[in-house]
Amino acid sequence: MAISDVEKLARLFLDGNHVEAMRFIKKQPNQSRMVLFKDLFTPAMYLIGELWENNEISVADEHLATGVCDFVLSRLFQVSEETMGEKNKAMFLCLQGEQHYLGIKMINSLFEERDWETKYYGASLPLEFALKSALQWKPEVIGLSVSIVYNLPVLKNYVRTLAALPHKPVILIGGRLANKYDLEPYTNKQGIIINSLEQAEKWLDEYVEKRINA
Amino acid sequence: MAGRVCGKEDQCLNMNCPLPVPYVKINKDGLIQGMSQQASALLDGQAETIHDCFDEESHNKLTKYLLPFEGEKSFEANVKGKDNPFVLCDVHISWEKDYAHVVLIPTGTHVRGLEEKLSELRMRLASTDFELFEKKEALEEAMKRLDELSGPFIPISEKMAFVPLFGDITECKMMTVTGNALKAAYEGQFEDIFFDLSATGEIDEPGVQKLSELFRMLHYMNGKPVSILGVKPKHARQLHKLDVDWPVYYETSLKEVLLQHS
Repeated sequence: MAISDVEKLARLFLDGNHVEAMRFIKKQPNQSRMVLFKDLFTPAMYLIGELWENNEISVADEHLATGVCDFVLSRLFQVSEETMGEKNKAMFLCLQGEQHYLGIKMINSLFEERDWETKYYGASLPLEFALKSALQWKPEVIGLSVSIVYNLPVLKNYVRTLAALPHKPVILIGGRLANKYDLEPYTNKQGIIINSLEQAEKWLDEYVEKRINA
Repeated sequence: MAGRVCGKEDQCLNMNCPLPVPYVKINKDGLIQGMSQQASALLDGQAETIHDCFDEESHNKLTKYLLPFEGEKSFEANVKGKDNPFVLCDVHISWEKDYAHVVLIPTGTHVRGLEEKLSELRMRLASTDFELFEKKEALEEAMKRLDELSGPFIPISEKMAFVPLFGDITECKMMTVTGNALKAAYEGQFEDIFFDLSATGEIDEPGVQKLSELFRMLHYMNGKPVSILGVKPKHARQLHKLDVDWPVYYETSLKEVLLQHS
């Protein structure tokens, strides 16, 4: 039986084969980041989660796959260094304790693709560091990611603290939990919940349009 | 529930028994019938059902093993520990009539090393300048190409081939030259192969070693030693110092050789 592209990519990640994984991504007919993230990277990582649930792979395999996926994302979707004039600024981080960072890495990449200047802090960033960085750098958007229920209690505090910054950044809240639970009670109505990559893209396009028309 | 005494058929289970592993006994409904001291130390004391012992994300996995089956089965899942909400464990289950024996072996320590390595890698990734990284890869490719071009295998006639060696004789360069020379020598039917050192710079010991191997292999393939041309006084001194005993003929120059063969 022919295996799907998603399964192929998941297998390459699990085999630790970053060279083939990159080749595989590069030869996809549609090179839009959104399409690659939505149709290949995300479902491949979800499939790896399912394989663990079916007892076919171990947590160690998952870790390897995560590392390879991270490498491929970093390698294929690099940040260009040119800074031409004023750019919109966004900062992305996972809540303290949160190790699931691939999703927000992709969101960060979508912002970069649209020529935003970004700071990507990845996994587990304590609030004090986030606050310090945001105070200095003044990003107009701050994206938070949470994927594990145990990390939820601190979300409220992150949102409240960051939304209260003098330059009033927009707080976006995403991650796997946004899909599964209603995160509204944790946002103090000060954050926007993002359920998916598509929604992030839609929000971004509308935001930019609003800014242009303003 | 923990600590309750079970039926007579249990060998060990007056539950607080000092089994050397975390052990939980459950009934068909998943209710905990008792646990070993090690399990009490590992798990949250409030757990009433086996589900209470596991992280929510592991429940689907657990449920698959909660109908009685023959033999033993094992899987990996996250257990809710007293101090840590995720204790990765190898879970072993076997059913005996209406009860299941569940052994939980924490494996977290093995994976922790892996997690630390991954975290290091992530830091490294974050600080890697990929443009530089790719330039380095391109440079390595160019160096290899340069090495290939530093020992071209040139057929002069059907029976003669000429290999001028350009630049320094290094191990890396000689390995690249060897690959190409062996391939070309195999494809052609050369009786005489001449290596020319006229354009050669420095010669180091590992380079000499690789070159000796190449000469020996060509000797085996052709049944005749190769010849060396253009040895400069500097090379002669270096080769003597390295105590080189190449299985080759020495000739003075290409001109002489061509005159002899014409």
